[in-house]
Amino acid sequence: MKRGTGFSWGAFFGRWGVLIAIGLITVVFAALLPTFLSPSNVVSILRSISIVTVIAIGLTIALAVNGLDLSIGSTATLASALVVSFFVWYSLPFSISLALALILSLSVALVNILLIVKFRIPDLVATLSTMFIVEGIAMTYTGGGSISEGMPRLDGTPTDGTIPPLFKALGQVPAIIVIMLVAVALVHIFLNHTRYGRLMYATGGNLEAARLAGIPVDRYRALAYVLSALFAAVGGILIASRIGSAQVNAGAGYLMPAVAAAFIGFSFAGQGKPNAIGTFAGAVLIGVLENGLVMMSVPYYSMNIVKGTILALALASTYWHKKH
Amino acid sequence: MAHVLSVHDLSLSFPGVQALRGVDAEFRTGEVHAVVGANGAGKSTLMKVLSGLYTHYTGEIRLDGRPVRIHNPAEARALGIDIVYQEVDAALVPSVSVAENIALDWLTHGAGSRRAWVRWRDVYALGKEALATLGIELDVRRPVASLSLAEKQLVLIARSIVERRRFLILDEPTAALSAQESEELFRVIRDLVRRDQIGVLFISHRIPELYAIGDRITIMRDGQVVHRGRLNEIQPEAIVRAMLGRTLSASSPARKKPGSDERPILAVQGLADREGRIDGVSFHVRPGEVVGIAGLVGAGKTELCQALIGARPIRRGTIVLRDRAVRLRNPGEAVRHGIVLVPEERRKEGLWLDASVAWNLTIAALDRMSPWGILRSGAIEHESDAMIRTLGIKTPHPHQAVAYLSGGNQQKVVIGRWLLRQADVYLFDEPTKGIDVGAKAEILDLIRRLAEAGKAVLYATSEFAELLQVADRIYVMYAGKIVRELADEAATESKLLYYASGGM
Repeated sequence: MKRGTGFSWGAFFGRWGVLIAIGLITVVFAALLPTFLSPSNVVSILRSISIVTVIAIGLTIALAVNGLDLSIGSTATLASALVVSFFVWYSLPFSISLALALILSLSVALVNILLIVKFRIPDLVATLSTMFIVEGIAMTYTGGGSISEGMPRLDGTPTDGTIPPLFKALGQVPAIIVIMLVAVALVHIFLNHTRYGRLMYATGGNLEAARLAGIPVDRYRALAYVLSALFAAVGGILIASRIGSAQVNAGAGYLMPAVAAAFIGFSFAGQGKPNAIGTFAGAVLIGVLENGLVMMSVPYYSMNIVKGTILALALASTYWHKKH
Repeated sequence: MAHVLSVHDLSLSFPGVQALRGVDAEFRTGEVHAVVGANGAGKSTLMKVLSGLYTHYTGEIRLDGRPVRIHNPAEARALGIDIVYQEVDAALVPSVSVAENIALDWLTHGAGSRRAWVRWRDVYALGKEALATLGIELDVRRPVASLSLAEKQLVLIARSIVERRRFLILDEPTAALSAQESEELFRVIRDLVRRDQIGVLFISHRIPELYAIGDRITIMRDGQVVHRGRLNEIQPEAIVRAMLGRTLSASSPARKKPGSDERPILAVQGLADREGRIDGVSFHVRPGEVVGIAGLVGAGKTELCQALIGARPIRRGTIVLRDRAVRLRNPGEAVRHGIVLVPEERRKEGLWLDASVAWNLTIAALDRMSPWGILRSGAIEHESDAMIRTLGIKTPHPHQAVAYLSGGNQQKVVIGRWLLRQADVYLFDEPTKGIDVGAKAEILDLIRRLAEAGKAVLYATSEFAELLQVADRIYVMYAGKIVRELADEAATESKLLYYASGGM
């Protein structure tokens, strides 16, 4: 959207701040660390952000209708537990396990829709409760432990199911990076070049105007939560395939980086609204920073200080410009 | 002794807009000073400078001849200048009592801020005293959220007198008030000015009421002051001329009345909502007809419009569309049946302010411009360009954000959206609210052309003079009921007002 005519540095930084930040951080790390820009490290950065990006892309759709979905981390956990259990406990074939895990994970969206669209509970607290519920369900399902090949079932019976190599390949380079890029591209096209995406932005931009304009706002809000759960479930499946097992609360750690990536992306190219490319850029920013700091031997437990600061700065640039 | 607030060679610009150019003006205490101008003339901008909201001006503000610089609203208040904006809710804390809202500045900046503990007795006493000074009956313990708009304004005025302001700016205070409420407000203003020697700066679009309340007038156009003088020395026509820079032709071209034998496209029988805001409403509209719903604020016009498009649950009654009873559960169904609403709160309910003109115009008609769900940007561009030309929407380009358009052009965008959607029944709820005189005429003309094209129009408003210009028949609404039907020839402004204020 074009506003005003004159050029202002403030607006320029607001618009391209994320890219400038990525560039600056890359230059600094490249100067300090000779291997930082090596092909293998670049691939490693992309791999490291792929799961966060996929989950954040789903959240971007929820944000587009002015919703918020905090249950995505738990949904990812549930999907990872389900898919591994189908392989190990039930020896189900590849495609059926995947499809079942995705479909069952979408039930989280149904609960969210019930709470938010039907009962009109504010999205923040509604999805906070589903986050806990689903976390508990996933944990109960796995008996509070992890699931991996060769481990006995909860009742002690032995298992002989295996995780297919094709499944494990999903979580490796190049598949995982390709999946991420396809997700970004699909959602970018969906939000910007289809009627449904535009009507979602309309719903999120002004709910009352959208309703009076005859847009079925409840249906679009519901669809947004379904899609955010779907991408979260895909993220969960990628987590499982990456580590080859289902770990306790495996998705929980992805919630906050995903929220951060999506919010950092708001200001991308001056859009001032959730958008797929911006979310991707936000994830890259976090990934580049994290990778460089790890290479500089900053301990993992201090990493959240940096991630949180980046989020705060990004939000500051987004909202500071909104005010003016 | 009278205080004088004056501005000298005041200029202010925003990116791309010169909002004020070399403004000179002078306001005195003990007077009501009307400030008028078409939308975009700069009167609100000037008021925002005086109240400390815009600080990047050039030129000088003087109080009693002494130059002052106002950097923020608190400094303006310290100089004795207070403003009551049109959006009163922005200045009120809805969940707390009337007394606390009146005492808010006193509690935060005034004498009440010097103690750490709140003495509730003092707060209530202060509220009561302020209301008594204004001669208003209002329970100081009521939460502000339960007040009417007019009462909220009075609470804000009461707040300003607690701190003994010298100048009080009222930004279009009567825009959403009924006649009695306006009269009450005028009484309060006159008392304040006479007794406490306060200077009131009164912004309004309604010229007749200026004469009822004002002593002096400053007229603005295109960011400049074009006239300053006493109100009793200028005629209403001259005010309009100065505001517009041209004369406004009042007469409307005669038009063929639709034959009364034509079947109504929309017929409503005994419509009532759950909350009793509309109660047994019956009327009909024929194709090619502009039917007016005349009513004061709170009569139930907005609620009726909402009920007709399925945005408000109906308790009983029938809506018959093209001889078929329809049940509209949401606005989407109404749109599919060809009934559309141009809502009263344009900016809140009708527009996506950050989105472009083209985006806003086409949002309800995307089905046509997106085969298989894929948006065709060429079609969107083409259709919105055509609509911008048809309606004469003034915008530099279709990609301009709607927020930067004037009120009249924003309203055209909302109307254009429904023209692109091709509806049969158009509902207008206060379509000229907050729109300047020139654009009003264009909007009225547009509505007339809609009817000429065979559409059915329902026009709900409290601006009776405008309704008389455009409507073929008028129903008068009072307290949720239709109390009278008047054909155009039989209707006069005073008759409408009489029935609309409960006369029998």
